Amino acid sequence: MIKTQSIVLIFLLLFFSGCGQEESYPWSDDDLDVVLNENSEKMVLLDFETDW
Amino acid sequence: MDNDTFSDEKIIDFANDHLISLKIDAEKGSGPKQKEKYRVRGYPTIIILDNSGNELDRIVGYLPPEDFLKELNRIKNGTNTLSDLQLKYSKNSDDITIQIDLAKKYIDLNVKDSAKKYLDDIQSYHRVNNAFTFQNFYNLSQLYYRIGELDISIDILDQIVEQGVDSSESAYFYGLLYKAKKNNTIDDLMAYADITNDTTRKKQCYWQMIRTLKKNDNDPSLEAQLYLKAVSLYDENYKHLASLLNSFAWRMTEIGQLLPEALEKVNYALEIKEDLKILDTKAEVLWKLGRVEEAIKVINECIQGNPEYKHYQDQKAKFLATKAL
Repeated sequence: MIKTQSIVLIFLLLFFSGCGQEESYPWSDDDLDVVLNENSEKMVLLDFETDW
Repeated sequence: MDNDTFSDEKIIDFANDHLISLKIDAEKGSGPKQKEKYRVRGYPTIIILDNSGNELDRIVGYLPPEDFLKELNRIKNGTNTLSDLQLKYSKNSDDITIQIDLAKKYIDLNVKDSAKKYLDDIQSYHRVNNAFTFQNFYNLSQLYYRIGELDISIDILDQIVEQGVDSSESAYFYGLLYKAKKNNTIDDLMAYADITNDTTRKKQCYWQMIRTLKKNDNDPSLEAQLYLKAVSLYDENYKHLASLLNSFAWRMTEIGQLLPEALEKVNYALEIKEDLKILDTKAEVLWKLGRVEEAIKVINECIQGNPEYKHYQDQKAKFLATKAL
């Protein structure tokens, strides 16, 4: 009985923690030169913004 | 953009499938160099490169997710990109629509020399062949204006007016507006704004007059009155109303005019949108009104909201210094 409860609890924990994680936008941390040298198929998006 | 467009599931899916995305702070690190290289003039500017680093196209200004996705797909499919338009032009170089689209694209990409070359070609070819329609001629004047060729633009608008084909009086109005800008004068615009029932044109007149008065810096009272009139032309449905009211209030603190009205407007802006920048303006207005205690209270709220921002600390020090006097 205790074993079944534990499994249910773990399942619920996994389920709800999974629900809370939304996928975020895939920003790259690489320099533009590195990206251009290593990239062979995708387009490159440059987002120019500023803090102020 | 981060809060909605770049958080949108479809945009994220597109980016995962087709893009490598880099964020560049245009004012820090290598940002200024990249900004110059890619001719970035405002923010946000999104530039899409091919995998060799050649610019395919750009998106300037904020777009909501659905419009942004449409633009990304357009660029991915190579529709109306620079290379697409160049190809169309090479096949049909006499088509004025393609010529104008190509010139527009060069303007969007901030390559003004190339844009001017195409605009000059369009003008020469169609003058010789007498092939202009009113709309094309009018579009041409607007494009010359966008690349800063004010004299050419005015000349074209005058020709349209002379031909008597301008039933909407657009050429007359823009001729008036551009001449006022060129000559740094406001009288003709003031007269037009007083008689026109067209709210859009009225707004354009007011904004041009306000810019001129600000530049000339010799009649703050008139500038304030016109600013108040301009602001009153926007209703609660205007998307950027809070920002507009905030700008009005801040400008009034700079020129020391209409401060009670500035306080009223900034309070209204805060009802529309809770924002530290607007609260900061309110503090400045209160301080200018001599209500120092209230100004300190409001700037404390700003500091509480963003303790790291030095400007708020400086403002507080400024207020406290006058309190001590």
